[in-house]
Amino acid sequence: MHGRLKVKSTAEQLEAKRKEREKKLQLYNGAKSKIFEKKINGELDEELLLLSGEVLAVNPDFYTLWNYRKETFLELKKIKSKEELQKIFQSELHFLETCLKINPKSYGSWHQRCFVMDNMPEPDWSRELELCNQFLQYDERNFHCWDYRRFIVKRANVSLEAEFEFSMSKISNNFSNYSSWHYRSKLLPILFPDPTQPMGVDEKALLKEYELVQNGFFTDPDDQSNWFYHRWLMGRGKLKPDWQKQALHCFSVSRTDRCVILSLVKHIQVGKSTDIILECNNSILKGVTWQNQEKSTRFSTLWISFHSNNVTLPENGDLFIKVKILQGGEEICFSSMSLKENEVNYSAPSLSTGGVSRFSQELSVVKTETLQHELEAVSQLLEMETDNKWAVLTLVLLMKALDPVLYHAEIMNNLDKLAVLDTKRINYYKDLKSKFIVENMIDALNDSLSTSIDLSQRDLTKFYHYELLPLVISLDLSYNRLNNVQNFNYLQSIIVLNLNSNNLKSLEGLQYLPKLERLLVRNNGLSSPESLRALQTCPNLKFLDLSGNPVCENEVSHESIREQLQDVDIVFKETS
Amino acid sequence: MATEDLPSEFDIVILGTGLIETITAAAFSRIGLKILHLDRNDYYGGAYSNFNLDGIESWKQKNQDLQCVPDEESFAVSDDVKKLLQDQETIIPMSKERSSAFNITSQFHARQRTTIEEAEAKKTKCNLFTFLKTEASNTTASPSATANPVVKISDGQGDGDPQDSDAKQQSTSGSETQEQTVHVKQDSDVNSCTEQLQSSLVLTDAPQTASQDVGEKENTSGGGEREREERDDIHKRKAESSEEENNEQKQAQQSLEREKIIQVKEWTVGDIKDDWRKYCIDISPKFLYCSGDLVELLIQSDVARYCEFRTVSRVLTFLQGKLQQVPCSRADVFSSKIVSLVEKRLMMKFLQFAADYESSPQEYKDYEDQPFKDFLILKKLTPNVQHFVQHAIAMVTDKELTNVALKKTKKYLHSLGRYGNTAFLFPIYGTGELPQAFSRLSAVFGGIYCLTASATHIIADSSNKCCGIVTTNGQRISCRYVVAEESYLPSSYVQKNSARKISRAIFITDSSILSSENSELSLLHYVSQDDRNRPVTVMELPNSACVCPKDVFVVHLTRESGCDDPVEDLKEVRDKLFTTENKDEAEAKSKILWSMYFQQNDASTVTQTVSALPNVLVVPGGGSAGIDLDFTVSEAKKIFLTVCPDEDFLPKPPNPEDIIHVDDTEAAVERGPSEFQDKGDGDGSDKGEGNEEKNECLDNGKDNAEVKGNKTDGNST
Repeated sequence: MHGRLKVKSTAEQLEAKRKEREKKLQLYNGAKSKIFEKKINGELDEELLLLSGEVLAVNPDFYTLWNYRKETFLELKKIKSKEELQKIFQSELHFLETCLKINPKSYGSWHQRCFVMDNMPEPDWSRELELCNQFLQYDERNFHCWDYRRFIVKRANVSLEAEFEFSMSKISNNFSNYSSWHYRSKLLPILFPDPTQPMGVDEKALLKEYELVQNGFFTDPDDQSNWFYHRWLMGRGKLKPDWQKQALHCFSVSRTDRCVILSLVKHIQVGKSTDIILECNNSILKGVTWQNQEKSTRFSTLWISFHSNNVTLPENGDLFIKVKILQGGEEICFSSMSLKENEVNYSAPSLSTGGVSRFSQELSVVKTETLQHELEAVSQLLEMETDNKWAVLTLVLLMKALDPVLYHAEIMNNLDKLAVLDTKRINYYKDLKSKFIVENMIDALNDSLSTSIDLSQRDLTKFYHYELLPLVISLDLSYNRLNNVQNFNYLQSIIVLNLNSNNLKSLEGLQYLPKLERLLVRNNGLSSPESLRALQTCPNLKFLDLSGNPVCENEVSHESIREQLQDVDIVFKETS
Repeated sequence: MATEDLPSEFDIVILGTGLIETITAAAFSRIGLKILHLDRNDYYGGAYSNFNLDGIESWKQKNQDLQCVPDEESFAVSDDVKKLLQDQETIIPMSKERSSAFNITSQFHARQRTTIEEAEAKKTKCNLFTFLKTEASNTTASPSATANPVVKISDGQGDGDPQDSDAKQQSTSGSETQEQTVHVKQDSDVNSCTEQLQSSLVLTDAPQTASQDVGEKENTSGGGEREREERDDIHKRKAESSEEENNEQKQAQQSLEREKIIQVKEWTVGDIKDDWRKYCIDISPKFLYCSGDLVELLIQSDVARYCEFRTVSRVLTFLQGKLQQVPCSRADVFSSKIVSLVEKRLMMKFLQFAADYESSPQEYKDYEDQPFKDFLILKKLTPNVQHFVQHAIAMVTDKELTNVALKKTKKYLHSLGRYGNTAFLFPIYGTGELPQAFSRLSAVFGGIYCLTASATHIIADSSNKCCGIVTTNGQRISCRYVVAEESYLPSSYVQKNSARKISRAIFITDSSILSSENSELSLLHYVSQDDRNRPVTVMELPNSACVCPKDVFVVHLTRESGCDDPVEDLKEVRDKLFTTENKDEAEAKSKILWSMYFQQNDASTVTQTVSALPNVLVVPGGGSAGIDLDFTVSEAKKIFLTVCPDEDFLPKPPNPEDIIHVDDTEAAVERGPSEFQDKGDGDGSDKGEGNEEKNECLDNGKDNAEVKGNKTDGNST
């Protein structure tokens, strides 16, 4: 069914076909209206089956009729004997086979088959399995059939080992069969579970799979099914964030700002069924409201406390602060810290990484050995196939997982190479490169997230991981290729932000930055006063360098900008 | 049929029903030329024919007898013949039949049955027989019972022979076998009856319903019929006998069966002979490249609808002292365990290059005239991969040059994946089916066929052009062209371009050379160490290829001869892969139960001499050592274009839907196609595609082959 050509018919044949079709249409419409009439009259009988059968034989995608049939069968079930029912259902199965021959991808027909099998007095599951085998011989990637197969396997308790074998036989026949690889990926964690991780796969079984898929990409390195499966394998053992301990990226308390900032791993929405409880010295602080970085209560990972006037954090003395997140009454997150007498601010990055990269778990926590072995295999392949993008990308991911610092230069080179090899995805590779640069920088911070960061002149196309940086004070992103500042309002502690010489057309995303004082956006593409609107919501903005932007060329807009940002010192023209 | 009945005028007379002749005949008939097609034998195919086990013995006998005919002997010019001549006409005598194979030997490598076994075998057969008898009586009313009387093509000559060959076989083995001889003979007769019952009721019922019409041959089978009835009576009497006896028999049988399960089956001569009709043993076994010229022609001409094929399911090679399956397709390379990861890549990369080598000339241009072997080394392929590419895919010798080998590799690769996992097809019931299929198309379009008939003389007119022939029955037939297989023509007409001979061996074996769970049809290109430049082609055909009964294999070995002894030529490969000893002594090697060796002259490269009349065209004969038949297409096309330079060569027959019906006068002109349509409809829409998977049993198919024969012959009357 994949990649087959259709043949155009000649004009004569078209005309003959048209006439035939017209005739058919008349009959079809006749039958259709009769069916609807019967349905309205509640005549769910065998005549309805006959009529709808005729229509469906021509057009098996008429879902409504399948539903009428189902209703009719349920009616018949009440009145017919077991033997009669068995017969009726058997003929329905037979009928469905003809429909599936007309359209092997008809949802209606496959669903009807499930319905029949579930309602039949004596379903013959082994025959159905055989039917699936046959269908998959014609089109090994018909996902309807794979779905139906899973349905049978579940209902008939087919051994998963046998299914695993089946997927193997399909792959041996043709390994460019992503459906079959996918089936394996579903079966592996069940057949060979790794008790230490949810959805993990036993190391031994995993190694076998690696070997298998290597055969595939060494045989045909351009076939993507192998690589996708390989990537899935590499992702086995990926840790799901553990809500009990590691739900927080960062938890910060400030006496001066009189607020608490929480940066979470997952999005939550405070209000409704979720609530954040703040305790100070073991008593719950009431009257605290929580808002996200956009000053709203929509889903976000960043939440900031606002205290009504009479409820504040004590300005003196030791503080013991506890925070709890409740979801539907259940505690899903808990963290606490102590603030000493002399301390004004304290922040704790909850995810202490102990030297290991914060980001490498994105690939895997399987044994480094395995990854090392894979790295060698892929390198070997690359020696022969220097220009294979899949191999290069896999190499990059493996290096990133193994040691992003050691392999930094190689990773960067390979990403540049990918941008050349695979020009259609050039932006994907550039963004990936930006991401890796940011991640390496964050790893280098060594958990001291409240700091200044310099990422100037790094060719960044996008900035990542703002969620980890609510405590950063100063950020230099000058001389990059950023084209927007979306989500920069996660940077709740930012004071100086340097965005000189980027490709910004708007400052949308800088809203509500409470501490922002100096904003440098020299030499960007800001062209109208409206593009600066977000800055009105930054209460502490004192200095704005706008020079070198199109908006500065027009004296009229200077006025309008000045009006917008009244207390801000604005530079419109570069002073030498 | 009597040749006197033949019309006296044709466009073209074709002599010999080998593959090239039949393709040519089909092409001529297809464009409306009047064809008379003669064959001196009583079977189709000439050098491409196949036989059952008895048939091949009589083929051997015939060739041995013909050995004494001198090479140059031709037909005498009698006065009767002279009378047929008109003014200024001259007459050229044709060659008499010579032996087409020599140094033929054959023998069984199994023991004779013991008397107890003989009785046992007889009993089981009787049981089967009565069962079938009742089956038969239930269905005798079917209309097909009144169909044409049986005319056997490939089996015809075999009918009288079993006694003959059996007697010979037995006479060598002493007095104890005297009794057995009779048994064996009767058994084979009975077996042939049950056989026919099994395959089709039409065949055995025919003598009963139409016995008056049948000639001599049917009388012998009528004898079989009588015998059968007697046997039946005996059995009935037996059945009436006491139940106790039955029980005893049952117990004995059970214990015997138990023994059978424990022991590896030990074959006896009787076991093999019992199934003599189930063999289709090719004289020239060949495979077809899935995308080769012959397959394309079969599809284009719709002749494919008359044949069925199996794909060669695996290609083997002898590597590191043992047989290994060659990874030849993408899927094979993926799952093969004998090539390393890096080799997988190397191999795929090389094959991808070879599949389209012309588009990257820089890769091979400098090495075109150097041996392929060196080119592979230069390409940095590992020894394993070199071996696979050279010996199993390109199938070339160490001397073969790169440009030739690349061409062969490409052909192989382009044939992969079309019908199956390997590049080859095999016609079920044997290569001998192909000439019959093309004959059928010719007959459908009006070609007239006559077996056991040939030309004794060519008649030349005053301008020294052929204007007719004299048949073996002394009839003069005029024609514009004579197309003849080389062995029919005067030796002065035929230029022999090669002194090459081929050595052939045919084995019936008890197991595959490389056992597998599935029934495998295997090809092995074996590089013999005694002379690496004369490799051996080994074809192993299982029961599913419909050339032998269950549990045995037919193995064909073909090699260019190095000496006058075919056994010597094929000894190395035989000893490496087979044994004639019993299992327990000789590991797990495949055991030879029956073998035949012979040699043939390679007549596949002959051309016409200058002394030949310009309108007498020579067709190359058999004996090619090649694995495939694609050369037959170009040979046939060449002949066709010599006669009809502006006509289409076997164009697609009209689609039944596109045919517009015309009135009677026009219909006479259109006779060919409309008749074709009738037959075509009956045959359904079988194209080349997918046929190989059809799982018809041997007997049905044999029936097909015979019915096919009927129709073509029927046409000649």
